[in-house]
Amino acid sequence: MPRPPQGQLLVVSLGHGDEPYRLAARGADVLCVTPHDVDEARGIVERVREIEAEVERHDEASAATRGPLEPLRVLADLVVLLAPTQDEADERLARLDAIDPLTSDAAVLATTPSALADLLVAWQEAGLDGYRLRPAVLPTDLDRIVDGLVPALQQRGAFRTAYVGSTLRERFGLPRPTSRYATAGSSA
Amino acid sequence: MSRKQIVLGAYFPGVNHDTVWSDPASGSHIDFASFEHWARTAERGKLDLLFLAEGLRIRTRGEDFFDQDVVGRPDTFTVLASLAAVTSHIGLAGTINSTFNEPYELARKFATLDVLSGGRAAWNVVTSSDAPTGENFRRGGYLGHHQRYERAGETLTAVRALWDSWGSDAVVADPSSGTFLRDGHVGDFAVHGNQFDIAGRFTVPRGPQGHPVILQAGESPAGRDFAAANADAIFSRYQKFDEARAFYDDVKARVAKAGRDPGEVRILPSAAVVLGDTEAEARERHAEIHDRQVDPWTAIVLAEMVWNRDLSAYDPDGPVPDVEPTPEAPTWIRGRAPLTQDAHATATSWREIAEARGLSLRETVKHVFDRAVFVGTPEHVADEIDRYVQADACDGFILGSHVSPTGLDEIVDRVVPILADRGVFRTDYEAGTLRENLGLAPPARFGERRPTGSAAVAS
Ligand SMILES: Cc1cc2nc3c(=O)[nH]c(=O)nc-3n(C[C@H](O)[C@H](O)[C@H](O)COP(=O)(O)O)c2cc1C
Repeated sequence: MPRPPQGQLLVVSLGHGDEPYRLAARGADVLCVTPHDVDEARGIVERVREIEAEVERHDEASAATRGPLEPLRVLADLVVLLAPTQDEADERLARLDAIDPLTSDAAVLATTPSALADLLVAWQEAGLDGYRLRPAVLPTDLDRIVDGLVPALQQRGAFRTAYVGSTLRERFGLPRPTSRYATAGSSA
Repeated sequence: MSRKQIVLGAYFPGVNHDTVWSDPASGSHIDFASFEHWARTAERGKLDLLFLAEGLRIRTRGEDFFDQDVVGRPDTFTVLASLAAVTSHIGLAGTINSTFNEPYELARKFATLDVLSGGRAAWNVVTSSDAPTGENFRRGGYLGHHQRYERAGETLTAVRALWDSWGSDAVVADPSSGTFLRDGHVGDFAVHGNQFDIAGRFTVPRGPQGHPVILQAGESPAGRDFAAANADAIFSRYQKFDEARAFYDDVKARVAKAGRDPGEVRILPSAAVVLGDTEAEARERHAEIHDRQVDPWTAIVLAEMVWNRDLSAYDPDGPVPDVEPTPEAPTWIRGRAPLTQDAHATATSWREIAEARGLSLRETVKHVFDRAVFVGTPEHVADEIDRYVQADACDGFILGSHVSPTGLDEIVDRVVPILADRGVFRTDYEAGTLRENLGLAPPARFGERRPTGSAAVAS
């Protein structure tokens, strides 16, 4: 296969502690983490940045041609359950819990689309680059993310209204890595 | 007696000299748009299946890159899955080798393709020809010819056991009782043989076909016996009428010997088609195409495939080389399926052809590699396809042309409708699954979960 459009595919990993953070710092582009509040999010991001500095992020072959790697993009994983009112959200969660308690490594947020939009904007201040949302129930919560949360974020100027760029790397603001085999005169 | 219904598939123009990538009409052989055009065209013609070959080693000649042909080929499963999304009836056949893959992964990927496509998956089981391909993989080129077919047999047995590990009714998903699966054994498998010792739980529910359709390609006696015992269809390259008839008889006899009904196994040679409004125009077009397919340098390289040595010092317009082939030497051209099982005999026959017809090396190669079996007006080509099938030279064809991806268009638009008018090819899809459209029986154990631990394949 010829080199694919992104050069190197986006590498995403989920981590819950120093060891996986170190693995991500060595080779990933995106790290997903599981904070339960904004303070924990801030602590995690600081720890990730320390580890990044510690780990000599070696991507041996390309280091010479490409220079320092981009900092990891850090996303918070959140399980979301949405309803038009807080009471309805609480009720939905209670109903799910009654069948089988909803537990997760990530924080479970049962709330309204606009309250979730406020929370996501507020948590960004902890240094997060974004979020990976896990809809609690498909398709209900995915529909509510798309139809409720996304417009609320757009109103706050916190989310795109159209795609820019075509590759996933571009969406994360990551350049196309130069091929380790590129030589002067060949295109990467 | 009613006339046989013809099976028709479409191959994607291959990674070989038959594909003329320098033709102005040629598009990408990698972009989704090319595959999509090809797939939609084939489905417009109500063809039975799409067919993808596989090559897992970039071709080299000596130490050099071998780049007079198209180079590069994307992953079969990914392409077929993407095509499942833009088609709704046509079968999706992938050539995947049984030598460098694990049964668990194979079963999982084909079962997934079958589920995603609504019952349209087919697996062309090949053993792959060369040690250089094996160098890509963990165990390397470690299997001799005989063991490759032993492994193929055990792989297929294991894969079928995995496909059977979920009954058709395994998923209950009953909210009132909170029951998702019917019983606690769903997915259980254990397979022991000379090549495998595996046990576990399979993750993919049974697909609509139960077992995806099995094709095979491989010409040795071991390959033919493997197909006779296991395949629903055979992809062959026996295209000339007499050799196709001989292959047909040989394989059908093997099928009977394996205890199966010979009618259960479809034999499908590949066939390139060149059309013209008149016979003369078609022949002229074919001559031009063939001249580009076997240019002087390609003629040398194709001869090297047989001789297994550097022939660049020979003149393509001169005689067939008088030196002997060196089949025992390290492989000179790597990553291409061998052209012959007996290099000395093939070289001798080339010399005889050249002498009898007064041909140069290049002309001899062109003569031998005339893959465009059907050249003529649409009526003539339809006649020929029908003749081969009704005379039991084959049960249908996998069709294509020298141009990707639009080469199939004229075949679908001009030849297929004639066959449909004659009542030997469908005017619409009969059923939902490929297995049903091919008229194949459901797999024997359809819907029955086999008891745990009974799938031993040791010989
Ligand atoms: C018509 C035909 C098409 C084949 N296509 C492929 C292919 O796409 N990929 C591949 O790895 N091998 C392919 N093979 C070769 C098979 O790997 C086959 O198993 C190999 O030739 C060794 O078996 P044999 O000695 O029985 O022919 C093909 C063989 C034939 C006859």
